[in-house]
Parts: sequence; C-alpha cells; structure tokens
Amino acid sequence: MLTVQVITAVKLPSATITKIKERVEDKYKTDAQIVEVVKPNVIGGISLTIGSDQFDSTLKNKLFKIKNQLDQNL
Amino acid sequence: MEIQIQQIIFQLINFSVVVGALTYFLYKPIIKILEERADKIVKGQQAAEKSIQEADKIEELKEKAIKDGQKQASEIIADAKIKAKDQAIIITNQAKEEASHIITKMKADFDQEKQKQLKLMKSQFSQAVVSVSEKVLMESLTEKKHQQLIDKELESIFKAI
Repeated sequence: MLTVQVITAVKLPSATITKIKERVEDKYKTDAQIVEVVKPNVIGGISLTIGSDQFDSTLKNKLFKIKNQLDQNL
Repeated sequence: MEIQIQQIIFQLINFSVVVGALTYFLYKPIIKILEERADKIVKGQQAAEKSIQEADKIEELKEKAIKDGQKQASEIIADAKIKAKDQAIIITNQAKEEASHIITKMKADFDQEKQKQLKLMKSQFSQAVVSVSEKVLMESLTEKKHQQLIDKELESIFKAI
C-alpha cells in the first residue's frame, strides 16, 4: 500500500481525492492510501508526497522559488 | 851707570817667577771659569733650542689635534645628516605604507558594508514582493479558482511522473 499525502490550502472535493487515488494507482501499479492535509499557508495549488517522491506545486513553493531567484539575480 | 848682570838675571828670574805664579794662580783658574761659563752658556742655548723645538712640536700636535677634531666633527655632522635623511625617507615611506593600508582597509570595509546593505535591501525587497504577492493571491483566490488551479497542477504532476 502506497501512502499519498496531499496538501492543499482548501479542502478538496471527494471527486478530486478519488481522481488522485486512481491516477497514482495507475502510475505506480499499486494500491494507494490518500492522507489529506489542509494548510491555508500554502496559499493555493497542491503538493503530493508519494512514498519518497515529492511534487510541490503550491503557490507558496512557487513564490519561494521566485524569492530565491530575486535574491540571486537582483 | 853700569849694567849689572846679576841684577838683570835676578830681575829675569823674578819676572819668570811672577809670570809663573800669575799663570798658575790666576790665568788658569780664570780660563777654567771662562770655559765653564762658556760651557754653561752652550748648554743653556742647547736647552733653549730643545725647549723651542718641543714647543714647536707641541704646537704642531695641537694644530694637528684641532684639525683632526674639526675633521671628525665634520664627518660626524655629515654622517648625522645622511642618517637623518635616511631616517626621514624611512619614516616617510612607513607613513605612506600605513596610509595606504588604512585606505585599503577602509575601502574594503566600505565595500563589505555596501555589499551587506545591498544584500539586505535585496532580501527585504524580495521578501516584500513575496509578502505582497501572497496577500494578493490569498484575497483573490476564490473556491472555483482554487479548484481550477489544483486541477491544472495535478495534470502537470501526473505528466511529470
């Protein structure tokens, strides 16, 4: 069983949770368990932690990257 | 008047005795005294000459000592001037070097402080940009827009897997 942690700023509809579970099981060819976490400070977007893989597409992370680029290039 | 031989002989003998006595008791001592005096005069002259020579020698030594002293004094003054000049050059060079070090250090400190302030300003600026963006996004994202954004990001994530 593969644990998938889903972080978002707002609570996801059950249809979206189901869609994520199906897509993960399809990609990883194994059963998946979704753990949903709501964190308003991520602002928007979504972050997935599938086993040891992490995919952070939250606005918080995007802004963090922009800040780093500004720090380096200014 | 007749000539009396005996009387003449007697007179001759008498005269000879007187001459002999005078020679023995008067002439020789006087000559001796004169010789001694002459000898004393000669010795006095010699001593005087010797004294003059010694005085000249002393005068020469004195002049030589004065000249040597003046020469040494001149050498000491010249040497002191050279040393003072060298010392002045050394002190000037040291001062220049110290000034150069101070200027270099001040410049480095200034550059370091400038970089520090610039870095701080950049960091504050980027933080301000992020903070403003966060605030704007939080206020502008509706539930529908949240969902649209999540759907879009999910597609990107699954394409990447």
